[in-house]
Amino acid sequence: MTTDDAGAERESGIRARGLVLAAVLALAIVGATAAFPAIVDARAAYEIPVEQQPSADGLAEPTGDAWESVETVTVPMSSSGAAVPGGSDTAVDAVSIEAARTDQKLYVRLSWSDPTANASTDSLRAFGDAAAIQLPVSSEAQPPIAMGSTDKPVNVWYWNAADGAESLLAGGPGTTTQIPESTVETTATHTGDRWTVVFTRSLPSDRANVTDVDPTRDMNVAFAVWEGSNDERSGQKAASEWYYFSPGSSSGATPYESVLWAVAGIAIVVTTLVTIEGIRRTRSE
Amino acid sequence: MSKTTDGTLNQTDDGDVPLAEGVDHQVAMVMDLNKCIGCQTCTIACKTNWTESGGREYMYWNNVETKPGAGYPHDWEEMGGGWDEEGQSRTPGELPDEEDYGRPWDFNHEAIMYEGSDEPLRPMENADWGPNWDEDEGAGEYPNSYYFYLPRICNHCTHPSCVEACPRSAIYKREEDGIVLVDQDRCRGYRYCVEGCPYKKVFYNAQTKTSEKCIFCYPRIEGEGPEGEVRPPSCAEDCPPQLRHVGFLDDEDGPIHKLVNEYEVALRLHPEYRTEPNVYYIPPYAPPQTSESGETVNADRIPLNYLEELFGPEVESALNTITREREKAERGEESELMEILSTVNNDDQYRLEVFDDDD
Amino acid sequence: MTDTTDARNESRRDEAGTARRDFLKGVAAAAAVGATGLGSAQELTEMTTLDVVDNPIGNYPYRDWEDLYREEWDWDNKARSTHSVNCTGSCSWQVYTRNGQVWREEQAGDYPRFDESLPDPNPRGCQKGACFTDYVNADQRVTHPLRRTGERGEGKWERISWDEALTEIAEEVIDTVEEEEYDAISGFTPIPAMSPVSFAGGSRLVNLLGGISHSFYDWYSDLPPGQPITWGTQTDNAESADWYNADYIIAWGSNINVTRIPDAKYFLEAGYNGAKRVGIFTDYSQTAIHCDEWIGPDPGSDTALALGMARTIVDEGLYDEAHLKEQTDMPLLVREDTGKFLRASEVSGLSVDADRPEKVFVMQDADGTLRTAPGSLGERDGQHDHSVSIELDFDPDLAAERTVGTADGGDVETRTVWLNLRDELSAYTPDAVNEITGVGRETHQKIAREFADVDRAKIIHGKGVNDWYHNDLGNRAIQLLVTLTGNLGRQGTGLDHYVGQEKMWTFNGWKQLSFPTGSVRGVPTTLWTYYHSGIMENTDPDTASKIRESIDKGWMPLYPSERDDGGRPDPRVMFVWRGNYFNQAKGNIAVEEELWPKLDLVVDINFRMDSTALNSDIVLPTASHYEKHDLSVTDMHTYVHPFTPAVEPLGESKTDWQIFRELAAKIQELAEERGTEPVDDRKFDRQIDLQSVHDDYTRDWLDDEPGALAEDKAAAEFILDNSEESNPEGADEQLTFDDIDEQPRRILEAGDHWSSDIEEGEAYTPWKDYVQDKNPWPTFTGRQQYYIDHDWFLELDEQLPTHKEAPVLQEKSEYPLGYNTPHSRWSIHSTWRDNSKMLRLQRGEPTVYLNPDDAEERGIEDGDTVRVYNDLDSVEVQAKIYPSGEPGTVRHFFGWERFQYPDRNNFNSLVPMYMKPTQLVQYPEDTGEHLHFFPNYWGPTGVNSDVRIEVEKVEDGAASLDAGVLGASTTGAEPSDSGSRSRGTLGRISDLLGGDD
Repeated sequence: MTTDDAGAERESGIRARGLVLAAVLALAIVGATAAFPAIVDARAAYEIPVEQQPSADGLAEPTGDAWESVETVTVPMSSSGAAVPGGSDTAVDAVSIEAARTDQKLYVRLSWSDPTANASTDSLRAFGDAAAIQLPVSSEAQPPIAMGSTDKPVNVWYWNAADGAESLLAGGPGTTTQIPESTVETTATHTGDRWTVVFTRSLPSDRANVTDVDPTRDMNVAFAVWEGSNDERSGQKAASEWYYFSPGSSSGATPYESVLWAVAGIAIVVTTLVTIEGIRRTRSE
Repeated sequence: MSKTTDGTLNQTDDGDVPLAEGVDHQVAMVMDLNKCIGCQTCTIACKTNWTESGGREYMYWNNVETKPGAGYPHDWEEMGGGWDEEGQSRTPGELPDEEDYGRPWDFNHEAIMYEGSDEPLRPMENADWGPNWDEDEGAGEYPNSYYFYLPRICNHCTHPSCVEACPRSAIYKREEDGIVLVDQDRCRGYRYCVEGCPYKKVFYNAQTKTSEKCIFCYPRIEGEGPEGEVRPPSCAEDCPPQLRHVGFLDDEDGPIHKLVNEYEVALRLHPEYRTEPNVYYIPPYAPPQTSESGETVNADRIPLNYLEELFGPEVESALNTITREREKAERGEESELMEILSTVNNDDQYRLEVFDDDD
Repeated sequence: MTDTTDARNESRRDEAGTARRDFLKGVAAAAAVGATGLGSAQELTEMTTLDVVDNPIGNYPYRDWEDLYREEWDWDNKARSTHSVNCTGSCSWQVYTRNGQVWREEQAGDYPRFDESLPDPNPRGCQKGACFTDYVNADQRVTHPLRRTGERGEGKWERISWDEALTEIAEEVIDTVEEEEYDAISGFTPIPAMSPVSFAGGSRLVNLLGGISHSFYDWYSDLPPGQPITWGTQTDNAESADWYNADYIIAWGSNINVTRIPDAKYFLEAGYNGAKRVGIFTDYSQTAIHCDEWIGPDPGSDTALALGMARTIVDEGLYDEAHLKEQTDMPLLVREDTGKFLRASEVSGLSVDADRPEKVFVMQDADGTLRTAPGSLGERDGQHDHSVSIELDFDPDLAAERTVGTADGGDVETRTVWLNLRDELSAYTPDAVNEITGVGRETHQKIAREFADVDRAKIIHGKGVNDWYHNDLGNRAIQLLVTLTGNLGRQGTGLDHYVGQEKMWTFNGWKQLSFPTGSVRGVPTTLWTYYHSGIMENTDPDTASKIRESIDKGWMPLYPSERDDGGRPDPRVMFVWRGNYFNQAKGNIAVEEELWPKLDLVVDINFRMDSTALNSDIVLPTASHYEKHDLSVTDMHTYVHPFTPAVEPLGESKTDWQIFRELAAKIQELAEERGTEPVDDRKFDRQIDLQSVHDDYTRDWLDDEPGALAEDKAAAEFILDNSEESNPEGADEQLTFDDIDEQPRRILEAGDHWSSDIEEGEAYTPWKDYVQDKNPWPTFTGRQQYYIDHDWFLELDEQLPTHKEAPVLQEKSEYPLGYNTPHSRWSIHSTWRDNSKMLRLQRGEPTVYLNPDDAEERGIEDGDTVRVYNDLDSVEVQAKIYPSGEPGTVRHFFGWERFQYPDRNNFNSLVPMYMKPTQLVQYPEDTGEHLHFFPNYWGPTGVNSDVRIEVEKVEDGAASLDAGVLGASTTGAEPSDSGSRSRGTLGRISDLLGGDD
């Protein structure tokens, strides 16, 4: 697993979101008085809707039909800036994210452009392509983007083209610790010039230090990708800012009521988040 | 004297030997290059002890290379690593590939001996370079060519750039003896240590996906093993000419302290890498040159500047000291230095239990 | 071992299917598991917590994993053994076993010190001994009896049972003996010292069969002919520890740091003891780099260099006059007319108190009176007679020159050997020496002066100066330097020639074991090999006639002997064990084309498939060095230590002793069935009785105890019991096998085949019997004899050492490069040449060392494939650039197996059959006490350094095979018609462990 990050803490995620959320709020209010159809498709930046699916059919497959109806969020990626050699030299600049769930499991599909499939580390200079999903251990927590911290640890679901899936606990750079008996599973395929990887995990967890995924609530999430042919490993990775999973509507047409609920929901979320942001800033001063 | 990062001075004003902070004692080795005959018994002793299989086949934790020469891995001295002038920030290093090390060739014995093949016995893969490929070549022109042998292990440095290089802190120096180890559980095979070691003495194991290196035979010096006997590293104990002293740098009654800090004839290899190695070398002397007319002429065969490239500016005074002491022995006078370098009284060749009683 | 045999068979059965490599992978697998992070059980049960490291320097919290390597430093058992590969090292090792398999070896390092003022003798060993384990389960390992199904050398075999193999061999042996061609049965095995029980196994059977025992020391040109010529002794050396006692050491053509790795320490540390070390090598060798001065004479010019140094010592009066007068033939008078020594019987009025005055020599004392030379052969009872002294009660005149009245009334002019020598030396002026050798006018004189000036000076003399046609002249010239300066018979002095091993400690026990009948059909192998390979038709007429004369006069024996009808049968059956005769034979092409086809049956007994095994008809699998009981000694040291089995012989292999014992049993069994009658030996007064050959084999002939020697260990005990060195007569101390298994022991006394005693607290140094005890040297004159008045020597003007140009084997114009095949650090002869671990530290294939200028002239670059050729053959090897080699010289380190060359020839294919007639003589001509054939004592040396070659680049050369080709050869090889399947060693091992039968 190669998700350590010796990089300096970055001011990402929340602060940016704080400002953005103001915009979201405005947009919501304006939107509520504006034409409903506009709102129906509205999705906040940094939001990754998690769509409820009636069945798991095809979700675990990178190319499963079930994914066709799931909204794709394009997440810009940039070097983590970690203080490892070549830490700012990364190859991947965007990853397409899709998230879905059933009553039992969460499915996240990552897809990114990579002309070379590096699936072996058998030679002395070979590094495998890899991807990871980072979640706070506690969904309320706001861990530092770079591997969290000892008081705000993160879980990392890690996939490497050479070695498969691992589930990790981390509390800051250089601390990743393997979580045994992980229920994280991955399937991956490299077609054309793209990797497509599906991460699957059962929603709830009663294990300490293992993120309990509550599909009814927002949850921070970040992504990272490593291009093996660029010798990327460890902190030399293309990473996203904090995004968040939001409980998406179940697939199908959106009834008018739900639109209003959506507006209300957004307002609630906004309030919550602004409050959190307020607290966070007070702490950091 | 005071401790500097270029490794040329090794004693503080109060005479203490500086160790890495947090390390109680520091193992050290002195190798007498004037006794190295390039027989590679150390290389094989190390290999049969540690690197026979399991992805270690290509590794030579101990190797012996002919100098001048490209060495092992190929041109390792050109691959960077180590520390900058201030000894504070690391200089970037390269990751050698299989060809730089040389592959552990397998051969077609079976086919030739038992299956009627008419091929010659050959490596079953390309063999364009190996760990001892340029053996005995050296430099210069006949009759004034020159070469000597340089045995190398991990230097278990006081200021190890491999440790600094690891973002996981999976490499560490042991508190009790300063041995540098790669935690085989924690290592994730990033290979920053391989890049970061200027001596290229950390090796990536593609089978275990971890990096491995010379462990200074700690199970032997700890007295592990069925007989519970404290034994020096196999590269030292098995050396036919017994050219290595093994002990602790801070054992001020030991021969290593005398050679390094008192006579100052034991020098660090490439002190300018500033990792402060704990393996030291008695620099080599050679017969003088021969003239066109076949006369022996009083001229250095091995250019001094080449030796300075390897062992730093102190090499000349080290060689002068050795010459002076040899002349004493020739006149039949006592020379403590000559006695230390010979095995006539070798009770102190390996001093590994001096600190056993302290905690 | 016997008590644990069953248990070991069990474990063997479990393990043998797995080669050691795979076995160790098990360990590595464990390592892999450890490294996955799932190693500790608690991690799986307890909650996962963060592993944080604050400071990895001195304060690392997670160190449980360190057990990973601790668990690799582990073994079950140890056994003491060593390596028996025609190596003079004789190093005691501990062999470590795990799970019933050999894991690795490490020097035992427990030789007791006998002189605290010398460097620690421990540890002895080298990189090759450190990986012998590889051979125990190697791909090369022969694991069951094999019968050839293809042509010799093709590598096509069928596996046969022991009974089939022994029956086939026994039938051929019985036929041969019944047809009275027993002297067409050859047994070739070198160097008893390295494993005398194995040596004796075959030698004992061959001796009982009336077959011939081959010499080796002369055949490999390890014998320095100058020593029997001058000192009347095959060779006698100080043990290497004595080097440290010297004030001045010249390493002369002896590449100690490569060929004497366990001993090099004494040479290296002598430099710390105030000694000056001079290296005389034709290249800046691996030993030269650690010398204080290096002299680089042109190849083949060492004789002139030595004589030039001698001239300086003589002209400047730096010689030891007393030594010359008492210990040498320098004061003896030589007739000017005949060039023969003046004999007492020729001098009128000289009273002689000797049975054979014609073999008594004459000196003139200070008063001008003629005196007989004490210790002359004529007053001795044979070569060795210590009842006579050479001590002088008068002062002989070194420079005597006078007319002597002879018994027949005439007068003859006479001059001393000394004056004759001075005449000879006068030719070697500084200019002449510089001209011939390229060594500086001043430098060689300075070395001579320094050598003469010190108290204790020594020459370490090696193969580099012994492989030349004129090696006898070279030896004598270099020996002259220690004689002139009186550097003999004291610690720290002498001329030590360490090449091969001519004799051994524990001599008598070995002799009795190897040759129970006492009637030995010994043969000079150089003569035997070349004669049967057609040298008589392939050499100059003079050499051919000299060979003929030597054979006819009975100076040199040749077998099969000439029959009454004048015919001479061809060799018929050859046993080869503990050696690689076919690969190492000079005149290699002739041996392959002429000798080999004459042999109806070639049996090779081996643990590995070497070139001789590959070219045999039947290969019998023998125990490796870690699977048997035996002894090991060497003239490099004065200890004796054993082989003991760490494991049982792999697969169906058996020890050499057991193989020949079972062959003897089969011969006896079939002879009884056939009712074979005893045959009268045509030379010795004995009968060859095949119906008792096994009983005779196992019988202790000294105690006449039947069956006493059935087991290897008993044979080893027999050697210790019956040797002066381990069981001195009248002493209460004795060395037993268990003693030396406990710890190597220094031998107790030196038998009379050594020229000094073993002294407490002193390194062994030879010649004290003569120099200190004044016993006659075992020469014609009873002195160190530099003047040889043999007719052939006089004819060739070699009565005194003199420099001669090498014979022209190839024209320099056509073949401009000198060809040298030195010993390499990477093999002991051919053993380890095929070892993967050693090859990985070389270039994986044979190389030839070229000077950069020579290479450039020919457009050759390092790594190119080149053709090295002369009029005989052409070998394809890889070029390696070697700046330390003199332009015009090429080094192709020897010992590479034929199967490592694309054309299946080798380094010896470029060497013709040639030998020097002066080494075929008997001296004195009539009685031969001084020089007579005795295996490894006196006989023609198989030299090779005079060869010239040319080198050219091979454009389409394949430096190493690409996988495709090999793939074809490994998998695509058509299965041998025998139906033996193309499977790996493991397959074969599992077969023979019950897989198929």
